[in-house]
Amino acid sequence: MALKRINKELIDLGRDPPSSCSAGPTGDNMFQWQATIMGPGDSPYAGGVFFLSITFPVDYPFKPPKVSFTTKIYHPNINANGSICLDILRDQWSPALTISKVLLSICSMLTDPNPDDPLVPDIAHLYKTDRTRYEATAREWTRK
Amino acid sequence: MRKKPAANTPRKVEFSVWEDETITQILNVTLNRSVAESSGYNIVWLKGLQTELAAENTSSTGSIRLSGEIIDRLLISRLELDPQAMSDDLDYVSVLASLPADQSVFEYLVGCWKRINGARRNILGKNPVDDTQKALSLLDKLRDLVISYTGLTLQMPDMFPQPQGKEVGPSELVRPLLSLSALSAPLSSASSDTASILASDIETFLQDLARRFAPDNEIDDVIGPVVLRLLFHESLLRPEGLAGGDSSWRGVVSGLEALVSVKPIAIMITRLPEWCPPTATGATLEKVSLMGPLCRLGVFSREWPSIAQTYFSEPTKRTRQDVDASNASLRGTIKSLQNSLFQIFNAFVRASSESREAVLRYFSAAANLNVRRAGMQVEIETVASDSFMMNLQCVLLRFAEPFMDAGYTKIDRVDPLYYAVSDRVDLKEETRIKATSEEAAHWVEENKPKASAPNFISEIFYLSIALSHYGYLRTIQTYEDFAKHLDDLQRHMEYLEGDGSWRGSPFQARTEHALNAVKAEQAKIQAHQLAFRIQLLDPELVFRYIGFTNFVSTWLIRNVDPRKQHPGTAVQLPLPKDVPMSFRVLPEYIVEDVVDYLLFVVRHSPESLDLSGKTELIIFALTFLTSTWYIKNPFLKAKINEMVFYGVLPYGHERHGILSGLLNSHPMALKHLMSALMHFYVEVEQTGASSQFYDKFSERNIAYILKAIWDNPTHREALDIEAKNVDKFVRFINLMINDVTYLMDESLSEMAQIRTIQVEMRDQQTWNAQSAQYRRDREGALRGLERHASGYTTLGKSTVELLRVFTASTKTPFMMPEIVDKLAAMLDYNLEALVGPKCSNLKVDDMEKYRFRPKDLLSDIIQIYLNLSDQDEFARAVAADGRSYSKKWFERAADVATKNALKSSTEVEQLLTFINKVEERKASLEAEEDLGEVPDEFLDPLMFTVMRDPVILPSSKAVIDRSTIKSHLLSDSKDPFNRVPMSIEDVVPDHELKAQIDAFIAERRAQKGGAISATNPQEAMDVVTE
Repeated sequence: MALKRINKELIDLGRDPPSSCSAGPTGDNMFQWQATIMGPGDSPYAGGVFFLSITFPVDYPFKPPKVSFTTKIYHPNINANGSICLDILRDQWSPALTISKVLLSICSMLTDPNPDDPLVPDIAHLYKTDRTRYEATAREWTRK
Repeated sequence: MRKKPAANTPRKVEFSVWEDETITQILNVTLNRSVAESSGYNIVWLKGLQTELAAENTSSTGSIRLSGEIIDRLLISRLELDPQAMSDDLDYVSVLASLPADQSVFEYLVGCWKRINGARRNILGKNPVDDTQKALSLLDKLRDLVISYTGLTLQMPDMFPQPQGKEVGPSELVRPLLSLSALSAPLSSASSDTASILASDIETFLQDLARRFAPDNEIDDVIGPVVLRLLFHESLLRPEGLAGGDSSWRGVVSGLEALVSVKPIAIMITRLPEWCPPTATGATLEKVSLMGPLCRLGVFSREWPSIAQTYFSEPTKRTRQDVDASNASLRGTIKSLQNSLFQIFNAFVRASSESREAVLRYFSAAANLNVRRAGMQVEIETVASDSFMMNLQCVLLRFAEPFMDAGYTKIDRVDPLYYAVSDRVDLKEETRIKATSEEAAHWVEENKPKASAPNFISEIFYLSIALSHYGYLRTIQTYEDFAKHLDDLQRHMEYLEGDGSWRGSPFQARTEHALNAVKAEQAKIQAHQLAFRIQLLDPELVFRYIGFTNFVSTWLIRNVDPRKQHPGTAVQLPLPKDVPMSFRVLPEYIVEDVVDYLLFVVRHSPESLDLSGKTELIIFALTFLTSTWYIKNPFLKAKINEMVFYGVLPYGHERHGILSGLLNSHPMALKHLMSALMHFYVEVEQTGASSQFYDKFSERNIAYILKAIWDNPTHREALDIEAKNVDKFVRFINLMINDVTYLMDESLSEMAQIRTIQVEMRDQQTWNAQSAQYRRDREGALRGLERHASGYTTLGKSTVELLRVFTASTKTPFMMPEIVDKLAAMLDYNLEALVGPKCSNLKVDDMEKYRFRPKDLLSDIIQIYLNLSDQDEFARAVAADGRSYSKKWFERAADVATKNALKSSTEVEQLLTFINKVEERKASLEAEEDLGEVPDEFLDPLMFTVMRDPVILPSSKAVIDRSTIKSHLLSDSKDPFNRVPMSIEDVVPDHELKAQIDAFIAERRAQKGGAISATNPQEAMDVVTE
């Protein structure tokens, strides 16, 4: 149903790739992608390369893609399973959004976490109360 | 004064002789030494008074007769004698020596009072004196005198000499009051003691005191202190409470019953400052108010831990009989307490309008001071105990009984404007059903002048609701939390148990210690549960409270019934669009508590509804599920649905739940249930209250309810009627398809993950070689998956079933363009998952544990294909699915179905025929679609397919294909490009663009040489002219 749409997104990504992100199908299955994000320079994730898995649900683009980190990352909005707490991947999804836009949102979330809607409350707490330690831990994890 | 002739009666004593003898006998005094001497100084010779009188009355010499004129002086002289006093007067020494050394003033007076009664009985019986009238009035005078001094000694026990080391004053009356209870009175004290008040005397004695001291409220000081000592008696404060072996609390109850049976005393009690001290708080009211300590007796184990300890320690080792016996005995006790409490409060209510007001004020304080009990996080030390609230609640329920007749004849006596006139129930912090606090304030202002002072029925009705909200319902919540806590502990225990590798390791001692601690905690909570059940699930209370809940729910419906005739003539559903303000401003908890309570009963004691309440429950649910706009809170609506859901779950021997029967027979259910369920299903999505998927599904558990009614032809007809409202029905099935998509995706991917871990663990060698931390993480992950896996699979399965039955009976709505492609894609996707290359990933161990039944699922999915196989549009949609469709999967599915006898050979044949049709369509579609390079402006901006019916969106002005925007709007009513709310009626067709696209397609087809029209001219026409 959404094959044309997904194809189109893939072509657009190739033609005009967003900075520091890339994405594409893992094999011949057009509905299962892998993406990479380079840790933003102004964040404690700088220097890291993060892999993500993207699955298109059968009712894409009316429902959001399923995006999760496969690389471990220390972040208030991303948990140990790699699940991401991001509004546009949940109730704020719109079919006018694309994988490219989603990846950009995730990039900016790496720079600016949202500690008020945390997925990992402990990290969010540390982020709010002791920024230096949070950054040190995040850097530490990124290096691993 | 008329003298009776002494005719045919025996010889009568002359009055003056009788008077002297009687006074001597009653007061046990004499002014004549020889009388004292001859009694061995048992009769007290008042030498001092004798001298005094002799001096006053020089004319008479010799002995002075005792008469009514000098009784007060006689009594004072007697009371002033002090057995401990020294005397130089030798005459007097023997008098003093003979005085009963340890008799208090009170005891002496009680003795006098009893002898007065004896004398009176004698007169009324034998009539020995020649002037009965005079004799009786002497006795009255004596009685008044004795009672006056009794009052005096109760107030000021030190006014006259008292024996040393004896507790005197108010407690002297408390003691006989406490011993009234046959159960608490030691047998020895039942002897005929002349100076103590017997049970048979107490009422007369109290009445005499009340008659004497009631004027000017002197009684407050006379009996007030007695009441205080009785009601704050230490027997109420012992840790064993109701379970105390000697039942000494019963003494307090009986004493209080005796006191309140005398009206002026009852009135007096409610007038005392301790009745309801203004400084009391939620936590202290039950300790500092007069009725508090008695009303806080109970079985709830947080304030009475010894009950749980005594009766329910080591809960797992107790037999059912043992627990039942404890239940029966404790329930009997608590019932007898509550029954007495009601009788006592009833006496207050009936004593006077002031005391009635005081009772209402007390209940009001109990509710208003405990608003915080209903909060999310309750600090129990800041609020009233469960027992206290529960007992008051039971009292109120008894008050409510007279107006809750089965025919609801008094329902209109409940004043709908109560909250406008009365501030008895504090609603400051309460959410209203559907009004802001400003609207509520405005309503009060508007209605206050119209309303009259509330009647007693209204007071009881609204106070009961408030008190149960902060009381019974809150306690139920606490009880439910125990179960959650136990679940957590169980999980924690499993976590500690882990793979058992700690056994024999250095960690063994530590782990065992931790496990034992968890076990102890579990036992404690289970004991709590058992203790709570005594009261919460007492069948009699449940029966009573269901009755009250029925009354409230019926009253609520009558309130919104435009004809105000419900239940006489049942309300017509759905309700009018306009919600009356008198309903909106009601506190939300009125509705919530009805729902919460019925939910509690349906879950924990469904059989209680067999007696009464089922019909009311169903009518209530139907009323607010068909008319959801009457309630604002989406969670509340969800709970109404949940209540019906639990009602169709099996319990005991009842396979279809408590409600299925009535859902299939009650005329209102037959008429409205189907539409109510669909309305609600759609609404869950629209309100957006549940952003969490799982919440949403727990609210949408209507699949189970539908299953319970599916075989009923009347309900099926109702569904057909619903299906005629295409827009609404399409919305409904769209959500159903969304749900199946999501649930199947979740459950299948969870199965795959479970299997991965299971496989990993099966390879013992590799598994054991992993680090302990890794193994623990994986086990944790497995448990996490297992926790909701069965929830998802069960719900997924029932929703697929629902789709199967729906597609069997009504097909057209499924063929709508915005539905059919989506349905086909979803079915293909799941078919591939079940029989495709990855299907072996689903082969988890112990499928039944997760209620995962892939064969049943496959059978249902095949059935859906079969149900729709005669629909050309469906074949086209399956063919057009570019993602999962493959002939291979269908052939595999046919194989599996044959091998496992899921389908008959005819059905399998039918499936294969359908596939051939799909394949044909696929070939022609591919040819059709091959239009070569298409200009971007002809493509749909979301789907990138060629637009067939381009329309312009109202606010973003984006051009999009009609089918795309329709699909989108089914689950999200906003413009996808700027999130501005919109509806399909707002779009404007782009005729010009459509003409261009049509021309373009025609041109490309023509270029290909009309190959398509040759194979199927009709279809080619359709595409072009669409």
